[in-house]
Amino acid sequence: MNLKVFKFTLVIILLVIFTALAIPQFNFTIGDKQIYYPNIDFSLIDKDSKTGNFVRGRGLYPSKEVRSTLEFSSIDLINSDKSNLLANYLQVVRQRITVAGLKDVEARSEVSDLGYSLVINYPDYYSNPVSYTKLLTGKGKITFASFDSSGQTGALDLSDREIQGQVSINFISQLGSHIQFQFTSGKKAVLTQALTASSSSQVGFFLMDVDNNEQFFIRQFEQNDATSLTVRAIPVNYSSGESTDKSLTLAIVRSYFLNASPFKDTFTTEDSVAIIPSSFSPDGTKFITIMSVVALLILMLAAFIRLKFEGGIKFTLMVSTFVAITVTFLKYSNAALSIGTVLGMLFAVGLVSLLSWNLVSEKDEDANELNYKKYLNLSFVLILLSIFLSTIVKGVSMFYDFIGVILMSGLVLTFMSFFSFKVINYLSIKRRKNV
Amino acid sequence: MFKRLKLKRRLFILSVPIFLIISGVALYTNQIFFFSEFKPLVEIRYNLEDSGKLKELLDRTSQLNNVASVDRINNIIQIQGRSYDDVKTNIQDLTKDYTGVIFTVKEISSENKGALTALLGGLYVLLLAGAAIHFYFISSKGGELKIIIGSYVVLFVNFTLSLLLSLGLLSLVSRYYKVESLELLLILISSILTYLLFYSASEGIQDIKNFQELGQKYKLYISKVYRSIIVIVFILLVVVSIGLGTGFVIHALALFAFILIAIYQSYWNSYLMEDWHNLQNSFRTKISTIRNSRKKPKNAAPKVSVESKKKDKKKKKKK
Repeated sequence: MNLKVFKFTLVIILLVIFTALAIPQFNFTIGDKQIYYPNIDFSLIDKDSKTGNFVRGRGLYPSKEVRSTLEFSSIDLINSDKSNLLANYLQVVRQRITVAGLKDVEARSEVSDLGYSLVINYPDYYSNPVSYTKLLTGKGKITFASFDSSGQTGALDLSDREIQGQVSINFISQLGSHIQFQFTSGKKAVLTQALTASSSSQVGFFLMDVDNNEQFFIRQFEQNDATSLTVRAIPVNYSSGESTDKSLTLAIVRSYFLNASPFKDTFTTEDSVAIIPSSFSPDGTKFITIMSVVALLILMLAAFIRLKFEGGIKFTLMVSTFVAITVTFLKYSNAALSIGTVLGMLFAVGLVSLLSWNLVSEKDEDANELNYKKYLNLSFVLILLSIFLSTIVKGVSMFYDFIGVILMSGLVLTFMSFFSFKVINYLSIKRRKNV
Repeated sequence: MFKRLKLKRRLFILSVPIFLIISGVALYTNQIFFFSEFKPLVEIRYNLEDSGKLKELLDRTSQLNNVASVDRINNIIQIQGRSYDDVKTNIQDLTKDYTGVIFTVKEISSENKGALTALLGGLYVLLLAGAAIHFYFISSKGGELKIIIGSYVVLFVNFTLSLLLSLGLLSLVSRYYKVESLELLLILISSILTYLLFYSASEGIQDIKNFQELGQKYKLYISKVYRSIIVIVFILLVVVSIGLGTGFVIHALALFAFILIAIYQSYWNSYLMEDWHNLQNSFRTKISTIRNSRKKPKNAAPKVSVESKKKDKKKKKKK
């Protein structure tokens, strides 16, 4: 077996493996046992990536909406003042959403006879939208309290304005995920005193309270923490195990530190969740999957007609390798199946079909050598483009899914320009017959 | 025949500036988009048991000023560019004649406006920076600096004009249709496609000596790929639209229109480049003719009109 045939066999094996992984998860029963396929647990890479399915994103599945109504502390406000205040709160909530990394969550304000409210819209896969809304529209008031050996608490002369440097979320296996920040040097004495108040326990700690809703233990962990006045806030309500709820709570609480002052007025969040029907796909996503496969089949048929049998085979192999690898990687990177994802895939498949068509229809091998280089450059452009766009576009969730697909497509195209395109294009039935 | 072709070519070259002016006017007068998700709106929801009267009420409400959208399934009407109090007074007057009607009027904030600005601004920065890096690498391999800078300008102009024309079209349509953020995503897709088209075509420009050759190279590349683009996009859009349902059809049409604009615009650019020398020469000649006509020479020959020339010819023929 020469090297080129070996490489070609490798491409076919890759195609088979990735196609097997790319298909949507289904289950069947053997005896009493229910078997799910594909069921590969990638949770070591991403903690939610174990289902072998896309998560339910925006546009293709119903979304969830939770309303928070504003209660003004002052009764002398005229309507325009109330509207202005609501607009300011909306800005802060949107900022919290961005900082917390909830890229596909959208917020809007509504004024009606019923009152002044903020409405937060979540894609279907968010499991606990009411509690996230309570956090997002919370006042953001952070207080610190000592906790002595007898279990008594007392106010501490510490505030979130006396923090310097970055407020970050860290993970240490002994503590789990936690918020890490650093007090200013002027607070050294208060901090030391607060940490030693609970001296009966093995580890000195005090408490951090957020809106009388979430409590955190504040402690130091490394030797360096004491010298740099660094502390770690560990959520009381969550175990050391990791969960989506815990990481979202930490991310939203972290965003409170960025605002200079907490809300003056209070939001009351409704406990009911309104289900908003999807804008597209009335017949469900299975139908979209079927139609996407049909679209690919029509393209391949067109290739067989226009590029003859050999060209058709090459085109089919190139496009299906790209689709199988991209879909598999998107699935296991916990991507959401949304209208943005579908449009991203449309763009990526369209582009790769065009590139493959050019490669197959080009008879000059030198020209194709130039094409491989050109496509490699193109893939770098796509990667840079997606990284750049993801940093500038904030607040329109649809773009993120699209940009995610473009990034993944760029990476797969890099691999294909290096390897698959060349190997598949080498396939020549006539040549192999002669050999 | 040649003259006709030339006229067509001239009209083709003139067409883009005309469309561009129309787009500019539309964008200016509509403040980018007349009806869009990027402006706050007032929403009215009706509830009335008598479906006949409800339909009549919806019809009457849809005749109010600045109605952005009418949802007859959920009985929702959206109005833009008018205040909440103004609309509420209007609706209170309208519903006086309808007993048992329940209505709610809400003022809803806009989608994040910053996203639109960031998207357009970001794409510009991206184009400038990305293309500059690309052409820097090309120039390091040799080639005429004039051509490399020219290609950079073409890439920039092409992308800008394609973006402006697509936005202009959307702005014109926005008088009758509420623009959603999805349409901006579609413009993004077509703009990236235009960018990639010219990016791919700019490979190997080191060997090109003048703009005419450069224009021919681009034109050849675009004419080679445009049919494949249209066929591939058409197949993918039609079949996937069936899967996504009727709600997607308008967006699919928009995407197809933007891609056609991108191809048209790319063709225009390559034609312009191909004719660059001719245009430059004719422009120079015209300027020099205007200058010469202004400078009256002292010993200038008397002007002979066309009619007198014709008379002379007739006389000669008679002789």
